[in-house]
Amino acid sequence: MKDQRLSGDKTMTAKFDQWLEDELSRTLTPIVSQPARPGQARYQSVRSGRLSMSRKAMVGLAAATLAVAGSGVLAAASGSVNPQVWGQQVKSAVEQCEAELQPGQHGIGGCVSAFARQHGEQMRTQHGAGGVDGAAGPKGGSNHPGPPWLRQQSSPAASPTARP
Amino acid sequence: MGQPVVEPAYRPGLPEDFDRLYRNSFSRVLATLIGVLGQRAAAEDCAQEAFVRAFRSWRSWKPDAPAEAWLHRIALNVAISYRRHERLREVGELLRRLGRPEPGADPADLAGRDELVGALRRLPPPQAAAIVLRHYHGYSNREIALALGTPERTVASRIAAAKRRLQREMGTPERWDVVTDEGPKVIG
Repeated sequence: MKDQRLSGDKTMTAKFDQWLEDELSRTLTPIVSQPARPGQARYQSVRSGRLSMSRKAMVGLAAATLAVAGSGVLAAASGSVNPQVWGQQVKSAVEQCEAELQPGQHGIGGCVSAFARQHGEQMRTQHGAGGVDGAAGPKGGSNHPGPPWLRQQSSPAASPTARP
Repeated sequence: MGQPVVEPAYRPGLPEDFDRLYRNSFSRVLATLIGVLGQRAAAEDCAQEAFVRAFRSWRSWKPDAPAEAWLHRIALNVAISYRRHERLREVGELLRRLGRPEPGADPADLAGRDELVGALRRLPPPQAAAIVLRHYHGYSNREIALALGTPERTVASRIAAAKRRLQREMGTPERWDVVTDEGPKVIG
């Protein structure tokens, strides 16, 4: 008798489970079958916000590094001690480095530091032994080829910021 | 017959893997939240918010738990918070409405149109989520435990309690025999 009741309960539970699954399927399947498009997702705005922050941070970091390491050289190169002038140069370098990023490649730190290093070397060459020591030199150890406009420059005189 | 396609594992912190996770999981998370909230618009809002929170934590996600269960856990927390605020709003509305006729049903409110969704919405959110995860997504007890952030041993009792209440609300056992040919419902 007790076994029969237990068996009846089990059948009832199985029936209810089946009904529940059918109802959920009829209600929810039309929603699940719609494709999700990541391009329209809200988190994309967080991603672009984060990217622009990291870009700003990169400009700030590069500018600060150059200010400490080679302010004399940069002032000489730009013809001005105004930080806005060489800050603009760093900003352009960051933009170029970003534009050069290949698909799947991450970070522009190597490219920007290569810019700083090569720029420093150029300035030292231009100003000879009398140049400011301690400018961003090769001790950073980065083997990044640097941005294209530096790779193409064969002579320091080609630099648009070089003094006559 | 072709070989089944094996999805590569998600790698924490990689944006392209998060995009893939979104493509694979958004609709499923949305379905769970509709079961919990009963409203499609609210469920979409909470699902989007859950993915924003998940994206912010994507670097620290640990692959020892399924990514979708982790997402469900975040989404359920968002939904619980939403329901708490919704109750406060409802009390405010009730006070404002005192003495005035009740407005008509909101057409976007699934809970008002669909008996089962309405009954699910009246359950505590973790119970409603457990029902959808088990009986719609086919999650195991372990996966439900991860999604709900509860010990595995409490999952079965939570599902049993939810089903008892649903059975009471959904009426006579005879209706469970009925096989309908209505096809999929259109959700507004």
